Amino acid sequence: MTLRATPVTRVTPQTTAPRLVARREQGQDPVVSPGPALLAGIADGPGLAAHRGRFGPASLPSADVLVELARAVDLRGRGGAGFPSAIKLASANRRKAVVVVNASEGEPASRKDAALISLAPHVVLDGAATVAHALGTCEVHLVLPSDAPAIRTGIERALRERVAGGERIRWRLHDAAPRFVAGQAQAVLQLLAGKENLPVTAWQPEAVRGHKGRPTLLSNAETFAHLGHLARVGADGYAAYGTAREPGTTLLTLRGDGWDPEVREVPFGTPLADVLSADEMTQPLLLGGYHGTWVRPVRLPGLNVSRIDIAAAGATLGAGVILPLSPGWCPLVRTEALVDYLAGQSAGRCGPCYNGLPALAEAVRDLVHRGGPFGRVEELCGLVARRGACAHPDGTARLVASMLTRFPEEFDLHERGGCRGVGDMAVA
Amino acid sequence: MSIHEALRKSGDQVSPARDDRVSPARDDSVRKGEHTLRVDWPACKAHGVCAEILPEVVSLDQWGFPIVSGAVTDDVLEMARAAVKACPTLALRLIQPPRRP
Repeated sequence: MTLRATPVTRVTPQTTAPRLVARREQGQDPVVSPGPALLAGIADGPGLAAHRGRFGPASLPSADVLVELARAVDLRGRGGAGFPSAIKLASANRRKAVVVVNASEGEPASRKDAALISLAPHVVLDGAATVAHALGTCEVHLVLPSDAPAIRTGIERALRERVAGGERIRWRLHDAAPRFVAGQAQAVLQLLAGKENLPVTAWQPEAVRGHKGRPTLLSNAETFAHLGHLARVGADGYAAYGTAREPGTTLLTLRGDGWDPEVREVPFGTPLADVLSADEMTQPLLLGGYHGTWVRPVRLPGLNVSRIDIAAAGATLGAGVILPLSPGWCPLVRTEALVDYLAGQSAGRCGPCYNGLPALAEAVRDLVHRGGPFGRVEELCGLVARRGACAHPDGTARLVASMLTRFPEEFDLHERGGCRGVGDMAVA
Repeated sequence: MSIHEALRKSGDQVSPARDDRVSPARDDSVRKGEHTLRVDWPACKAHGVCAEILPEVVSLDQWGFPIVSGAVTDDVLEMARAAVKACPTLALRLIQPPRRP
């Protein structure tokens, strides 16, 4: 992951069906630009000296102060669920707490955590140190993607710098399996426990009863970076960017699974038009990643990077994954390919998921290519939702449901044997 | 707001692979103070015993996995306990209503 110009090799979308097999092995490195807060120092390099020179030492407030700060700016987790960090922190603030930084980033089209921990490792590690100090623990687990060894090398280097600097935290590294559901909270706890890195049923929130039964503050890497930044600059400093209702910045991954992927840090309230090209603003947009929702181009002008605005548009920002449909692609065919991929990402443990998702993929294929019934697709969406240890089936159903409701013209066209896609995209 | 309440409320905007949702049931038909059934999905192997013992609450999908609909009302509470005990893989749990403060 480097700051670099757009790559040279490329294949035209028409010759490549959107079968999404691998991500980091095959995907291009995203272009990352310096940002206003978390990514402010990436041009200085990832070293500790440069980081300290720019930001100073990590700020170490008490748990009560940190909870109050998180509440004041309404900080939300950045793994996708948007859960209030203040509540999580307050719940985990008990004896023998454990801190878990989740940088596994199982979401195939998300690249922001990898970019953040590669280019600004100490921004994340300072945040983890801040949280660990607040919770009175020195045990911090870092969960890294196993398919990106360069990230681990970079983190190991960063940790050596911190240990040499006298930091007394026991950092423990873990390698998450390269699959979609491996980053889910319970799957991460399984990994920490030395078991298979797959979701299990959660009977208690991990903040109440997590790793080894201890209260566990498990959050996304970006969330820790925000907590560290917030502790350092205070609520007013944090609110220097963003809007009154949503202070601060957020990381976005643009085109994370396609050509010219990009990671950007933008203040909340930034118009989507500022992060997408004029052409992309005329295309359907998949917001929130493969578990996200489609937004029709007509809704895009005036839409901002904002959890609240995007929720009002019937979509979710999730972990900040923004996927404009490439020109010449059909959103129905694209969705069909995604559902096929998602069905293959089932861990194969929960009956409704390992039976339901392949059936759903088949029903969607039937609907999109052979004029099959809507009803069967809707029925299967209802059958898989809320019936698994994790919400992989729910997310898949949500993607399909948004396709069903957002693209009536495209369905009409398909019914008449047409397709707005070009080339082999239109063929079953 | 407790973490349990917050988790229930955040359910609708959850990004699924990272779901932290733990509420026993977000079924709208469940009223406060009622027991609910929860399935441990990875443990469930579709024996279908629960649906035989408690057809009032549990039906089976086309693959034989349980569909839990609604709360466990007092009149079927004993049968629900029996269903929990009878599950060959211990994949069913009866969740008590949250205690009132």
